[in-house]
Amino acid sequence: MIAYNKEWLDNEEANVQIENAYEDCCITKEEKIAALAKFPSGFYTPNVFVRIGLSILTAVIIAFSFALLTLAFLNSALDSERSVAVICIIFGFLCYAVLEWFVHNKNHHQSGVDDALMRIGFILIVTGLNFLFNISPLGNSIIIFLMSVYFTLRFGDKLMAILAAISTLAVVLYSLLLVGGIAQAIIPFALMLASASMYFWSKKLTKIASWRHYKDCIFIIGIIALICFYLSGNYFIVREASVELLEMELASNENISFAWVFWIFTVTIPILYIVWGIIKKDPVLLRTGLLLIGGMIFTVRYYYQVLPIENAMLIGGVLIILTSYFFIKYLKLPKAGFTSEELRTASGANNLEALIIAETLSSQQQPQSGNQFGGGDFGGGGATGSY
Amino acid sequence: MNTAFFRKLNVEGIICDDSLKKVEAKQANRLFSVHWELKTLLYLGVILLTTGLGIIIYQNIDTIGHQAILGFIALLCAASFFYCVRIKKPFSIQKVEAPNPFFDYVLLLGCLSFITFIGYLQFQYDVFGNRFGLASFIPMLVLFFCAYYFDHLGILSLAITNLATWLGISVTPTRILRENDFNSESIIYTGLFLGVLLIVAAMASQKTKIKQHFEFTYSNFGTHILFISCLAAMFSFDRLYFLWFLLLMGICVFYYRKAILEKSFYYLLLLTVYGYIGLSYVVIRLLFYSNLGGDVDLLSAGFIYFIASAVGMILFLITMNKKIKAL
Repeated sequence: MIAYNKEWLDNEEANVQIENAYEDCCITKEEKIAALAKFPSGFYTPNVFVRIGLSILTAVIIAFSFALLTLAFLNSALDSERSVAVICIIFGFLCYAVLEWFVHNKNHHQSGVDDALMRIGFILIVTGLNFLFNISPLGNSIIIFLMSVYFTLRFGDKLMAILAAISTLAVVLYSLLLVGGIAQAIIPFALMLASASMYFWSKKLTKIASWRHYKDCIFIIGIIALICFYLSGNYFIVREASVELLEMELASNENISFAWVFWIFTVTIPILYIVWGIIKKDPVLLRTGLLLIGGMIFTVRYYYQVLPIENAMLIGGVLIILTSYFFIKYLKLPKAGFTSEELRTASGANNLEALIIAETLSSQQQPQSGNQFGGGDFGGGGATGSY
Repeated sequence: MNTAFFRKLNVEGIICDDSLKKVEAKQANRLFSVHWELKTLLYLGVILLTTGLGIIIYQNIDTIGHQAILGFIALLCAASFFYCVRIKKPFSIQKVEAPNPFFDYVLLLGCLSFITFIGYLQFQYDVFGNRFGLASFIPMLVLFFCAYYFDHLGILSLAITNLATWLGISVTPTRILRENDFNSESIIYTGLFLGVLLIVAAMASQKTKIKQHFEFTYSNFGTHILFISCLAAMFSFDRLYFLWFLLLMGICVFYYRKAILEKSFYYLLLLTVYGYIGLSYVVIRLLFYSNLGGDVDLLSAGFIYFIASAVGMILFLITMNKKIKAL
């Protein structure tokens, strides 16, 4: 299904592994060069700045070719809006054809040219269809879902994967809206269920070898699923969406049904993410959780102004500074597999080794000089085996 | 890292046993670094605290009084600098690492509170009177000194911005500044001057080896300012636009050589984008002043120019990418 040479994709992944091992000072430079030579890849993947330039220029070409074609058609006596729509669709498919040609014959892979062709082609087709027919939101979600899934599978593009994940949830949302009645009441729960299944499904797929070429896409779908899971249960979102989509009329002091359930979701989910992320040592969960704490604070403050904003900021700021200061100091020497030091620094590439040594030392409870927390505090330190 | 993959490399004799052991050790001792999470939190905390404090002071300005606030800011500034001077590593013309993770933030706090202090003095007590130049010149000197003395890239950027402000204010007569009518001509010339000045500064730090790592910051600011001023000059000095275009092309050639010398894809992208904007302006201008045909013909010709030139630029970028990679 994927358009690229699979052996080359595997070789690129091997190259990344080798580079990482080299940067962690696990292998020597000679070994790196010898190993890289074993995994050649024929893709045309330029430097990231060249990629940006190529995508801008490709967009310029597409835009002006489109303008030229439209100019030619506008002079003829055809119905202008319909003909523009048809040109859009034809042009979209043309972009796709050129994209396939570049990938097949020129071996472009994340070169900027393919990025621009893929995204602009996608937009042109969807816009053209909407010009031509009167499509409902549900119809649009289904079209976007089908197309983005196809593009994700075909080119392994991350942006398309994000679109695919979001449009899946949109399809669920709009079909339940269409059914109406009791189905409308369970929309938040249905969306949460869908996001949760998407997350666990993405976790499962990362372990399956045949999906390895979509590793990045699956990774990003997991993040989107985590965020959407929270948003579907967030009190603010549910309340505002009920007003918008269900045309429910709520006075400012009126409540939605099951409000307490959504309040529990709003407050607990970010904390659960963080706790779970620490237990599992999963940076994605931890970072998403930290991010969503912001959403939680916003939601609570939107409905309950416990403190004036400036006092809340002052107290919150002091608390955050103290907590982060404490953890930066406390985790200077690694504890339980966590550290506040950078693993890779520009100057001290051997940081990792030093940290590992520090951790093994601390778990053997050797006296540490110059450490204000004292040796006795390391009781549970380095207990990585318990996870 | 995938241990099985490296075991296979070991069997094939590409990496030695020692390296494999290191990979396995790393895999077994997986450390989770929360460095950036904690740093971001710290930063967020500082922002929340200072914003909250600012609002509280603003609301209670009548009861607190200006002297008290000024005193507080001065105290904050002095405390920050005292801390920085005490724990800093000895000065060197090479790069100096920060002694601990908080050093950079404290220094930034000190410098920002110093700027606030000067601004407050000027706003409330009109200390510098109409000499606006002096009010921006003093912070600029302090910022440049701090950037070099404590080795802080962020403060260097602040200092460069301040330099631009100072130059902008100095060239603009106060009367015009008051009437909010910026004389575009002098601003453009200042921009050109500033761009060249910064590029010279970049070259100087490279050549003299004084804080060599400052080179990119100087050069980055200088490049954008120079290119933008040159384009602005081309758009606004109507009659001589072709001379400015030649200058633009000259700058492009300069950066072309720099990109090749430093193997920099970044400068390659910049010279392509800015050069392309200038070239397109000239071509479109010539096209529409030429009166060669009807509107539709001219429009089509313009479109065709963009398609053809973009194809040409793509070919240029692709060749250059190959060339720089091969260096």
